[in-house]
Amino acid sequence: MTQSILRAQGVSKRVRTADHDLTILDDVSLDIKLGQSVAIIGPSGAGKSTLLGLLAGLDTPTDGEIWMGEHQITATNEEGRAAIRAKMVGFVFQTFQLLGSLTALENVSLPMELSGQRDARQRATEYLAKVGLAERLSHYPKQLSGGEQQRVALARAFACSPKILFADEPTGNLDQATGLKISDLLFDLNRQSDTTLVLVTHEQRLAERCESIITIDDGRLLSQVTS
Amino acid sequence: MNFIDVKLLWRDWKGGQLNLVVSALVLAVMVVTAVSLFADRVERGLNQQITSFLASDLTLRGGIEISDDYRAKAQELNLQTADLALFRSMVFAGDNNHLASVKAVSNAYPLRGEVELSDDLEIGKLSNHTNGPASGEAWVEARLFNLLDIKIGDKIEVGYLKLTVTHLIVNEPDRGTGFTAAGARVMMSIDDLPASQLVRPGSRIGYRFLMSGDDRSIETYKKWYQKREDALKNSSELKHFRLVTPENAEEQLADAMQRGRAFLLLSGTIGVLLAGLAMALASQRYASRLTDQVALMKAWGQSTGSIRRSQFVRLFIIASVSTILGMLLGWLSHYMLLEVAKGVLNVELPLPGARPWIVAVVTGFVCVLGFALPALWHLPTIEPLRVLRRDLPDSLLGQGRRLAIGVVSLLVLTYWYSESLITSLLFLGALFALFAVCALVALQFLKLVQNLGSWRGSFVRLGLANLWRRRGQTLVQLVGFSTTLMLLLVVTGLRTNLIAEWEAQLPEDTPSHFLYNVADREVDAVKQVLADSNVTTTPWFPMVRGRLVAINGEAITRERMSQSDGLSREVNFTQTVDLPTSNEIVDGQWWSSPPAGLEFSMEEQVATEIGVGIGDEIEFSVGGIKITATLASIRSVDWQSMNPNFYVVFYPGALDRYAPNWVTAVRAAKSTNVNRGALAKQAPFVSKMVQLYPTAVVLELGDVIARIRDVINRVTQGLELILFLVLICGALVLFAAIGVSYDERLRENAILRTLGSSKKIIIGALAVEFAMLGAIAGLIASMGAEAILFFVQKNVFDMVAQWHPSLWFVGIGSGVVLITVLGLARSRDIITVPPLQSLRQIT
Ligand SMILES: Nc1ncnc2c1ncn2[C@@H]1O[C@H](COP(=O)(O)OP(=O)(O)OP(=O)(O)O)[C@@H](O)[C@H]1O
Ligand SMILES: [Mg+2]
Repeated sequence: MTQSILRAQGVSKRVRTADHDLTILDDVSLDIKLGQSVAIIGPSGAGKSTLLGLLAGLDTPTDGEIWMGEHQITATNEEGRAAIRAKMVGFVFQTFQLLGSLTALENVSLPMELSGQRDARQRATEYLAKVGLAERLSHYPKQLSGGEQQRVALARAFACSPKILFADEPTGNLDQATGLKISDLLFDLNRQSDTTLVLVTHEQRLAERCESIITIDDGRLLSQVTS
Repeated sequence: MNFIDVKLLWRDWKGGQLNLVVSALVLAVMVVTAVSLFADRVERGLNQQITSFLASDLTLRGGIEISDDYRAKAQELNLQTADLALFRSMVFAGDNNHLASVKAVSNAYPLRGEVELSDDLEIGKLSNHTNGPASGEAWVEARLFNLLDIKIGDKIEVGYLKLTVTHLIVNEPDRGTGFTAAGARVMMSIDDLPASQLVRPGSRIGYRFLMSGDDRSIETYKKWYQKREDALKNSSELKHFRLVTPENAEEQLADAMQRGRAFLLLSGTIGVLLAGLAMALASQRYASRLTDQVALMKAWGQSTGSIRRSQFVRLFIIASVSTILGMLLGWLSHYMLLEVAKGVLNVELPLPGARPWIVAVVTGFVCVLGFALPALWHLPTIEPLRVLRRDLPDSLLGQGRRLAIGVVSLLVLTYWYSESLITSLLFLGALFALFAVCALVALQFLKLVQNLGSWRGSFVRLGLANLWRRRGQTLVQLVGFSTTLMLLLVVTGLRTNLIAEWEAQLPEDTPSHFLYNVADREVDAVKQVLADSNVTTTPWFPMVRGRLVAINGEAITRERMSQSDGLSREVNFTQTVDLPTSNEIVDGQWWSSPPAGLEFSMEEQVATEIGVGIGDEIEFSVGGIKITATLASIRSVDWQSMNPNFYVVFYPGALDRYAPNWVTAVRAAKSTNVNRGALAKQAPFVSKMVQLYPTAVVLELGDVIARIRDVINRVTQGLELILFLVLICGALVLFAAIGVSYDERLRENAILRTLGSSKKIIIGALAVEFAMLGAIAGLIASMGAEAILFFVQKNVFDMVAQWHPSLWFVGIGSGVVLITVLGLARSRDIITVPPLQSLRQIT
């Protein structure tokens, strides 16, 4: 059996709102193997983004434990989680989250520069070429279309060679044709780099391209189906 | 981490996100640097003079000739001594004359330092001298050459004496404070003084007794003097002399300078305050732009600590670069202040010391810590989850807390500038009170304007509605702008209007010249000269100078004297039968027949100040001789009348034995000579007068006013320069405040345009909004400025206050133009960017 890279055990998330306690996630357990691609699907408001945030160590669960590789990220504080994220994690977001004051090249090289990588610019150039933007290195995000922006975001995420890539609705803001191209690119890059991919989406077609599909509804895990 | 900080900062700068923060900081540092460099260099220049200020180790100063016991003690201690007499007198050559500052010195002068002389206007060869001019010679300041149209070797007349000009004075060790409001220097030998006949009982002459010697003897003399003083503390003996040491001379000047520097820096503080406000607003916007970036970095695994460190590094770089730039610009602009001050300051300016630079650096960093950092403080603690949930609240420091930090920073700076907690509290208190009043008035105007909008055309309504809807912001802009504009209007008003208005309000029959120091035996002849020249005079008054020594038999102690100005200095006495015009009796009776004993009348304010009433017996001393008289009446005096006026008036006879000098005011026809250059401005009778009666002094009122105007001009020009920089700070506040609502405006206007509003309507609404903002700011500024000028006219100049229509015109006009232009320029993206793009930019 392959090694698991991400494991959740009895994870719940409750928040206190003005009048009552709200349970967003209820007793979710799952296991994601190294190199696997996993889709989290479910209706809007089901708790997909919340689960993604917990798995990525951006937030802490109310109950339960989460392991990322050999690290139990629920047993450490934010500084500890930050260190683990720095080592293992990459992100792609629905709203791209490019920095408006930086060029495409700068956007891609920034996280590598932050982690002190020497050949940041070179790698950034290389990955921008891989996503087909070799000609657009010095363009600013506002000069790029939505699909192009998301391609920059993909280059940024993969250039860091993360062990796990978290993607929250990466095609949610794009039209269907563009979304299709982006997802092709995403899976291409994923295959090339052996990254574990955790993908939140409510598009069935996108989910079906993953090796495993986790369905949640109303904060509960309904099924984890591995094809 | 460090290299990437610089890179990110550079990108933020290129993206224009730091423009406002940096320019506000640069301006604040620039204002403070310029002002403190200026103050420091002037201060140093004056201090440098002081070190040889006395031309001696000790100087005894007196209003009467130095008495023998002081000389004897100096002799006993084997001190070297020299004598000086200082006074103003007319000097003339040919048809030209000038009211000069004459300094008669004994040959031993100067005991310390050297007189630098030149024989050439080009200042070719300098020669240093440790002795004064020989009998029959005069050394003069270069500007006298122009004033009298003379050259080396020519004769000038001083009193009844002709002296040959042998040298030009380039520098003298005891030149004085460096302020050159007085006439040009003429140095002569004290041995020639009697022959000049310039010294009379009533003349105002300063005597100086210079001493130098070894440290022990000097110490002994000082102790001896102090003992003598202590013994006399409670006696009624007049204090005629004062011992000046380099230390206490320096102390006095240092005090005055300290006050001057504090004043300048405090006016600069208004700039710092506005710049700080702009910085705070701009930083808040910068912070909201950085939020996503920080959240992203944290998601990528940057720790709070490293982001905090990075924040400090960036702020440090911003502070350093801006401060250096500000210091550079401040250095350049302090030359403008020096240029303005050049005419009234006559000192070598040494290079500045370290303090102005320290002031600049501290100002820069305190501004960053007090205004920028609080708005950015929460950034490192932003939760990484924000990358997924953008609705998470950010824990921005509360507005109240940021305000408090800002105010404390300002207090720290003003306290440090003024070195007085009370001054800084009062200053800031007054400033904030002014702001509060402006804000209240502005709010009323806004309400008024809001109602106005409801019945106007569409874009007018839109613009005015915006003004009210964002009234918080509007108020910040209004207050920042109107207070600076107000101060600028006041200062400009002082410079351009006040003196002219005051002059215009002088009555038709205001004298044009004052004539004084006319000897008893010359009076009749002088009257004849004046009559021949067809000029009229006010009545002639005999005048002596004296002081009060006892009230109702009770001697006035030195302690008491020091509390009242009217007691401590010599004042002018006269005697006359008729009540002088422009005097009114407020208590007692003016004499209708000769009184039985000696009686006198006193000016109202002095009487109140020293607390005397009708019937009190007062003893006076005139040149050491005492007379006692009864207070018969108290007068109010209209000083505005420009007639000779007196604090103490005796019934005729009382002053006869004191050999009074005579004074009068002359009304000559207004000089029609437009070219009032140095050589061509004299009324014809003046040259006749001074040539025939050389010891008399003629003072032209026009000259006096011109001198006052010159000083006011320079002071206000200097202030205008500072306030102009402050106004730019006000413009930055405007920019920053627009920035606060910028994204909102961008979105609103995009929506309006997609809904079909034309570009015209949007520009129109913006223009209406800014023009109205400018009009209100200008209106408040004009109201405030007019009020301040009203107060100054009433209370300082004692004149009928006037309206200044031009001030309102300029105030409102410049408010509208400035704010509309700046506002539209700042908002041009809102207008020009296509709606689709601006909608995309925001989401
Ligand atoms: N901190 C919080 N406080 C209150 N409610 C929260 C909080 N976090 C999440 N929720 C709520 O929990 C529910 C699940 O949120 P989540 O963002 O995980 O849904 P989602 O499955 O990603 O939905 P979508 O497909 O629309 O993105 C939502 O109803 C959301 O409003
Ligand atoms: Mg979601």
